[in-house]
Amino acid sequence: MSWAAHEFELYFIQKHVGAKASFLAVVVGTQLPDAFTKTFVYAADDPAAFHRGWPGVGFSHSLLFGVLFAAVVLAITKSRAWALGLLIGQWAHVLTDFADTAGVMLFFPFSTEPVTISMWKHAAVEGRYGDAAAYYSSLGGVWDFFWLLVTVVFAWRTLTPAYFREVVVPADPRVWGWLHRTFRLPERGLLLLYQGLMFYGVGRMISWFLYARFDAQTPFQPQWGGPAYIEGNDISDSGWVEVLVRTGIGAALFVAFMWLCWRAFGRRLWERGYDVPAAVRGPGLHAIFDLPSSQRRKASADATVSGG
Amino acid sequence: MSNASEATPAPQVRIPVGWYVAALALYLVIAYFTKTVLLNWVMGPLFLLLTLYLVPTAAAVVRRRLTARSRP
Repeated sequence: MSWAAHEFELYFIQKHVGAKASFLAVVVGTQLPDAFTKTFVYAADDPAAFHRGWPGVGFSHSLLFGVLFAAVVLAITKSRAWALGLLIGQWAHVLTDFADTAGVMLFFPFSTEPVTISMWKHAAVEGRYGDAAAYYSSLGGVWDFFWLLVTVVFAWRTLTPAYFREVVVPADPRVWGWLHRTFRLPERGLLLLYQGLMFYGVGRMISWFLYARFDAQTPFQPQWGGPAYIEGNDISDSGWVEVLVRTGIGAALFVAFMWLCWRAFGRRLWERGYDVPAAVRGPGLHAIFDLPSSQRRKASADATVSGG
Repeated sequence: MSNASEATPAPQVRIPVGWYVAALALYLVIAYFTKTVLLNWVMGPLFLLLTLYLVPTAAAVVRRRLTARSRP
């Protein structure tokens, strides 16, 4: 599993999706696979198999899980920005986690074969603290640092107040506006909330790294498949040809299933959804804050009628 | 709505980098010694909001009230 990388990649994704998806939805999507399962993973008899396998909660780390969740949210809220954000966030989590030894069942239920590049060991068997120490003693910690660098070098602009005002809030005026009104948070407070995830990523990365070095005193072994002091915990003993064939079949079935779903109801669901109209977005945060929710809903309805 | 759109935009929020560095130092010290408090997904992301907005705002309110009371 990845740790702080899940926070850093949020801003890298934000840079690429711009105003097409809600940042808050990407956050929820990124946390979705672990949100309801992580507590139980550390208590399981075989944490790796429970976390990523089947039977277990490994389906939460599949591409289909993200699609289903996004489709349900689109059907209920009709918000394309939220559906897209959830999907991108969940897929980003899944694709980040395939680097550890447990891997992810990408094409579940069409293939239950975990896909992995075994860069570092899935160490949940050590408990939460032991897991953290193992992760920050392996290439996992390097992976986090790599994502931090990528975010700071290529997506630093997404952390600026101007970007927050002009892109992030206008992409999701309803929820940011709700946070503003409900918790009486001015722009400064909302900005800090937005930047808080990056801050948390940096903070937890350094804290756990220091814990591994000075408290747990685990050896730093950033080599492929490390750390060596943890027992191997692959949840599949299939050879690479077998994995390739099963995953290939799973991928083909997944694509076919997605195409059928799109034809059957997906397209209609998407067309029923709405994008935040430019009229409501206004010139950034200022317009959103001054707009009562009743007016905003009316503006959305007007835009839908005139558009349709 | 048009009034809101045409209104003069509020000035940009500016938070000096030093405040972020100070908050991070504080976070690291607390997180290192009390892991369960800050190294979780609820408190961790809210720490910045807490230290750079909520606490200073609450402190300012208390200070204002104390000043008002002490005035004859």
